Amino acid sequence: MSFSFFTLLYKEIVQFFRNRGLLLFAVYAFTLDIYLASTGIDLTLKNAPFYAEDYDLSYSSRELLSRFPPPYFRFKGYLLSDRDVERVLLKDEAVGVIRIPFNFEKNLKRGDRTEIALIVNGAEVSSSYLFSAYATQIIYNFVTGNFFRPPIEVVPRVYFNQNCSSKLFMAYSELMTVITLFLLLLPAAAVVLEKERGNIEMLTVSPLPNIVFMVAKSVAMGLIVLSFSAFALFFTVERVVSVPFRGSELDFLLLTLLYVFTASGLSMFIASLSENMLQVSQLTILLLIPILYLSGNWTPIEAMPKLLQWLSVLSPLKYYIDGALAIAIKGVPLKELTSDIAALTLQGGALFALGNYFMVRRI
Amino acid sequence: MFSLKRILSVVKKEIKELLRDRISLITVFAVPLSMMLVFGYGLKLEIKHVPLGVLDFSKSYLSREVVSKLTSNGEYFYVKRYFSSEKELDRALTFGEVRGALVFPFNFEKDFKKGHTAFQLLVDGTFPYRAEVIKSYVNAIVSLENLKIAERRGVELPVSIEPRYWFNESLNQDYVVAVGTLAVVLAIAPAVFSALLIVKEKESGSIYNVYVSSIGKFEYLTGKLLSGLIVSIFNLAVLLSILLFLFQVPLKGSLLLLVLSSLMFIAVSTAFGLLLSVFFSSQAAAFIGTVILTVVPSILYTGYLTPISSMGREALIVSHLIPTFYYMRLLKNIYFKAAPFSYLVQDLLTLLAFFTLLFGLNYLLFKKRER
Repeated sequence: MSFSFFTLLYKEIVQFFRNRGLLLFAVYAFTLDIYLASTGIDLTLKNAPFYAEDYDLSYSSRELLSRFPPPYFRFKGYLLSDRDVERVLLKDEAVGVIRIPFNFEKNLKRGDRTEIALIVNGAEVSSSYLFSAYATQIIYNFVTGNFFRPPIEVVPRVYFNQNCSSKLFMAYSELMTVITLFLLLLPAAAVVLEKERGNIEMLTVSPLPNIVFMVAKSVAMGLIVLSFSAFALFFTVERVVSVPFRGSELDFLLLTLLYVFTASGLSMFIASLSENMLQVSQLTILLLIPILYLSGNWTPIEAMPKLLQWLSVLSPLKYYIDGALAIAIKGVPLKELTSDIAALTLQGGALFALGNYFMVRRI
Repeated sequence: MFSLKRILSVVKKEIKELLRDRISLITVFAVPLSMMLVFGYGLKLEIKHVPLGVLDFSKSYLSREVVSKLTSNGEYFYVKRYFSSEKELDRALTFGEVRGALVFPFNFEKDFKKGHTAFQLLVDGTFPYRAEVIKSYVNAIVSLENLKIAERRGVELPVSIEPRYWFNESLNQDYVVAVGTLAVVLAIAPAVFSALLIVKEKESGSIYNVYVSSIGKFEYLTGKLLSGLIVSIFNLAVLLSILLFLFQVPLKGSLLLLVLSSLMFIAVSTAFGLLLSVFFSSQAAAFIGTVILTVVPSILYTGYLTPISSMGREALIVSHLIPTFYYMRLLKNIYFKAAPFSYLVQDLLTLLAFFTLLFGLNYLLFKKRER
């Protein structure tokens, strides 16, 4: 029995590696895809280009503009009219424009009212908000500097990721998304392929119990994904994207192993419902979306509507991301992540057992 | 010469097949719908209800006042827990119990009476964007307090700063996300559906019937393309109605142009899925390839979550290779900016070029022994 299990395992792994298309995309997903995701964008304000519409052209106005420093801001030049403002915003050449009125310096010195306008491209998100928030703060600090010292000061300090680099977060979060995608798809695809070819009839009449076939498939795909994850962690994330890893890699992979059971259990559910690959593919996406969303990776769980907050306990990715980010970014040892481990074990055990059971029942 | 009849028979076969496969029929429409609802509705960039910790060494009136100013409107912050030692606080930050913390030094109030005081804001940097927003919220609220204090002391600030948001006056980020989601969904869903259209016949072997039949290459591919398009046009209608009537995002430009550019984009993404279907011989590979090649590029390299203008040079080069980039720009230009047609022509032509290129590649790569 154990011998035939290993034979089946071997067969699945060989089959995976002979499917060149699949192999190609697996390699792509665990290398280039993660690289693109982590280096491509930064949700925080980095090098935000802006123009100035400066009607004053005084010492003070130049001084004010010099307070917008790189790497947050990038000064692109002066604009002469509102028409130009419209043009640069329409063509997405700037995140915003700062308009300084006539007699800015004079009014400032005399203490007369004057108004600085910040024109921000509202058709963009995230850094547009940060642009206006930072710019307001900078102008405010500049102006108050002339009048009084702010009585209360905030000294911010960012923990775990001092310069707020998006790279760190994006690299790990993309790795986990890719792991989820492959874990949901591969076992289901392996089973449904047998169904489509008619092999499943042969399996049901063979002397081995059906459950052995199913478990062999999930375990084989789990092992493949786990080894790709290890490769992505040591090579792509640590070498190519080169972000720091604070905790122990072994802990990260052990947590991934737990997650493998959970996700491949879900995959077996997909397999038990599907008759062909179209169904597998659509059901995979249909499951992937809520799992991704409810994990709190994109929208913080505390900002979700109440109902979704409760539902988020169902997303296995939530515990995995919580735990894995704590290990990778904060350097927490695995043994302290008891609640995440407990949740994953519970979900994993139940889903893996149920998924395989359902699968066997359906054939 | 090609015949319309043969093209239509391919379409008919695909539609019949879909109609008879109940699970697929439901999911093919449920997938784009759920993507749109989940991300268009649920993806919130505003940061709300952030759990804060407070470590107050000063135990003063002023520190309590600052805490209450930060949490009083109940929308952005709430105090999750008061701490009595730094060690406890560190632990809570590490395990994500609180996302940020306010630390008031022993002399907080005393220094204030002398004229200047400071407190520390600790933020968990795991999610960088959230950390930056938390910082900016606290800064803004404290600045406002400072102004009030100064006014009470008789100093008035003569400068007012007025932020104006063009194209989206209330800076409703939900609107921008919802419209962007349309582009992302239309990049993924049609491609995923059409990615299996040809390769499924290869895997089941029925492709040999096609090889030996009298149907031409062009007719066969056009038939497959059309069947993908029919499904996606239906989906487009549903998604656009969601955007207009459920999310109620006001459309500033022309509906006709919006529909026209969306149709072009659907054609591009269908042709892209078809290309993977022609190229690969396993459905699993074609599917996962489509997902990987569409999801990350169209979410991260198109200006969906971050302005294109702040991209680096390499990222900008990558983004110009992605059709979704042009469609996203068209969509925002039409939807929010009501941009004149002359601003749109170039992107429309680029989409057309992408379609021609992708369909041409399909034609070249699909091998069939023809008469």
